[in-house]
Amino acid sequence: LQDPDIVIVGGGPAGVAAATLLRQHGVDAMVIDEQSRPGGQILRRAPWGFRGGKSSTADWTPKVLREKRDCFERHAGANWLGGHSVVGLRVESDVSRITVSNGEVIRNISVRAVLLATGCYELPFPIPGWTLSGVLGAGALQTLIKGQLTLPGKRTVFVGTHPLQLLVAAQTILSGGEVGAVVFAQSRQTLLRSLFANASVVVSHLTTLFPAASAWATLRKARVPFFFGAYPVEVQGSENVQGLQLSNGAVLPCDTVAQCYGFIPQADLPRQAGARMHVAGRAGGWATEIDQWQATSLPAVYAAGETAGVAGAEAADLSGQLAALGIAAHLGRIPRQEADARAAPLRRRIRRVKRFAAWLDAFASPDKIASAPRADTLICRCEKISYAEIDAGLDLLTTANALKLQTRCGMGLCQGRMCEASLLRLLKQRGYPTDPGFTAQFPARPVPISCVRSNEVTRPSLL
Amino acid sequence: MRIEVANVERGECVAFSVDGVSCTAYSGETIVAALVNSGHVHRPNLFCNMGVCGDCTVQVTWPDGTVRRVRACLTPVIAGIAVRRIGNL
Repeated sequence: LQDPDIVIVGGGPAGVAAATLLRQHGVDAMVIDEQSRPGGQILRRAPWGFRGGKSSTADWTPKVLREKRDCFERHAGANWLGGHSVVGLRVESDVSRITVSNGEVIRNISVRAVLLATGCYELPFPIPGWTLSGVLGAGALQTLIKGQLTLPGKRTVFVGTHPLQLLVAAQTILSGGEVGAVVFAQSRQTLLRSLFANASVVVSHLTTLFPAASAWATLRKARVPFFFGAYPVEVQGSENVQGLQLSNGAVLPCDTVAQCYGFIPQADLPRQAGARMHVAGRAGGWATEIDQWQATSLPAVYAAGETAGVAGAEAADLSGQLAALGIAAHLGRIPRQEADARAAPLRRRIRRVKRFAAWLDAFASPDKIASAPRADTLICRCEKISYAEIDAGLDLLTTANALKLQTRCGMGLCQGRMCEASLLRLLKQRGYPTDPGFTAQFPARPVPISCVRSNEVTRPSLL
Repeated sequence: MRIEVANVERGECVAFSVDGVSCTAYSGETIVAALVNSGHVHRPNLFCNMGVCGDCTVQVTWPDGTVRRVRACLTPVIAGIAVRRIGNL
């Protein structure tokens, strides 16, 4: 099998936009994604094998992006590699080596250029009882509805700071589920103030906010209770969720809790390869630093979409196009002048969308409520490390890496993705605001040791 | 709980087992969705549903006899697999 010239990691709006534009210029780029079908998390849909029907419930995603995804899927052929995880990235001066696994075998691909379009994931928000079966991300619930036509439970309580929970709660209702309550940590006044203090940004993005208003109406009609200025104190239950206790004393019976505190970029690969990163936003995490062509600090490695900072699907689509122009110019497929001319309007639109993203980031900030975990809160889900254990470590240790070695926090299957943001918040509270977080290690996703052993060529990535 | 949607026809029925108990699912469902829908008293671990957390990792014996751990949210269910739940590793 011949290696492709270019690999795009991630088949969401950014990856699809880039692959589409590159193809128009005769450049074949292989798109690799863990999902079996293109679209990323935002455009998930029913799997192959399900027939008929467009969507299970209200789908508020932009039609233009869905059409682009479908067009890409129809024409991608061998350029789509679904069901594969990119577990390693190593960049040399003129070539990048990408390690790919399907969980069974592993192989290395050498390419001339890489576009990291790996998207983001939900900020995990530790509270006592959050490892019980039935606690999940609101986005996880949404992808289960969209991608599997399945609800995780009968009665769901939504908690968080991010307005996405309105959409997912409405989708739950429209799918035949029950919503016990929607709980915002912000007070009603704080939310209203944020809306009106930034009225110009809000008004100029009304189409973006329309789904939230529509969802709100659905929830009101279903008489779903709302709580403001309340946050979850403890998930109750023995193995499965039985209820949720709130800071205002209310106990809400439910079998599912969906949390929604914002999004952090997927940053495993650029960090592993040594790209320059910066703090992503109020939710936390690391965004890849990019230049005006979406190029990272590494040679011929580009980043687009949420990987370079969470700004939503429209920004992902635009930045994917911009990166593709940069790559095409880099390869000499289009003249610099043409690339410049076409990039200008894209950049203008990205700036506009980013103003809204910045407002949303502030609106949904989890910072104020993330201050003091209870001692028995499991910060590290994989290794079951409590806040008390980390707190004890914090008396002596002042870096995420040192705490990891001491307590095992961050050593599990998630590679620290579930606990790093929490740990960095705790370090910041103790007066260490600039910790770079865990050292990113190969492999970025769990792979059986047998498939690493079976392939000699992967060895260099391990060193 | 499967969502009933007009005009949507699920894939063909496949038989598999969870911790030795026989179950059925529809072709195209991920293992985690199949477990959610299996009606077991203990629900599967499912946190991110996108392969980043690893909570849903299960041990699967494949029809060819090989045994591998997989993230259940990313792996489609196929006929004849035996799933063993291992909880958090």
